[in-house]
Amino acid sequence: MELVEWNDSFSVGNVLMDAHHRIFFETIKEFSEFQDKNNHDAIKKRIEFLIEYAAMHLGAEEKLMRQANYPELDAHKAVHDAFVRELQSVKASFDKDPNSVTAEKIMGIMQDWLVNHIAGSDKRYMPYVQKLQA
Amino acid sequence: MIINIQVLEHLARIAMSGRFDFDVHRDFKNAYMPLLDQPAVREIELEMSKIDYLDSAALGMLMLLHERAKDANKPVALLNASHEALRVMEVANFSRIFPMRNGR
Repeated sequence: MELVEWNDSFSVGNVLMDAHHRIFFETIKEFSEFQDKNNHDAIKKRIEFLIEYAAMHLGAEEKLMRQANYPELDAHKAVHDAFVRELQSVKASFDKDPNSVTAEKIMGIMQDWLVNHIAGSDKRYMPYVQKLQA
Repeated sequence: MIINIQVLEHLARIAMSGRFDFDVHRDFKNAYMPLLDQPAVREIELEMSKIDYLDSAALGMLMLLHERAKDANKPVALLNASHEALRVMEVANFSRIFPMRNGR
């Protein structure tokens, strides 16, 4: 898995959301470098933490979009909900059989989603959030 | 990591020492969650002077606390962070998100 570093092109113009995104990238990177690949319990705890963090971030983003009267909130939230379901499904597979899916694959799913979602969806709420902050 | 909690009237202070990394995730969460449910607690301070290492997961844990405390209407301030801790936290612009205090 090729790790992606946060850079200014990922900025959505809000300090808190940028911090959330940046920490998400950094934590995925940190967990990807975890050496004890056969320690399923330790990997499971890391996956659970990232899912908890993702849920917190997505909820915070939805609150911000609501405050900014973002007209595409419902569609955006549906994308978030689908992502959380996908993470839960992958985690359930890992819980059932840790050999069925690698931790690297799960980290890859999170990172790919994050990159594509920031560039494709999050950027669209930028003007509304900037108006709120003005 | 040692986590110590003091509640002084309306202020709860969480003092941490040692490595603040993913391994303390559960202990850290267990330390602050009850504070969010206590009506008497109106503000939370995190004493950081004895933290000698933070990783990215620790920043994530602080963000989780920040968001949950915001929902509970209890501001969170960071106290006496070392130069090294500040450097790590500035990667994510923490000084623009958390009040930072020194010398208390």
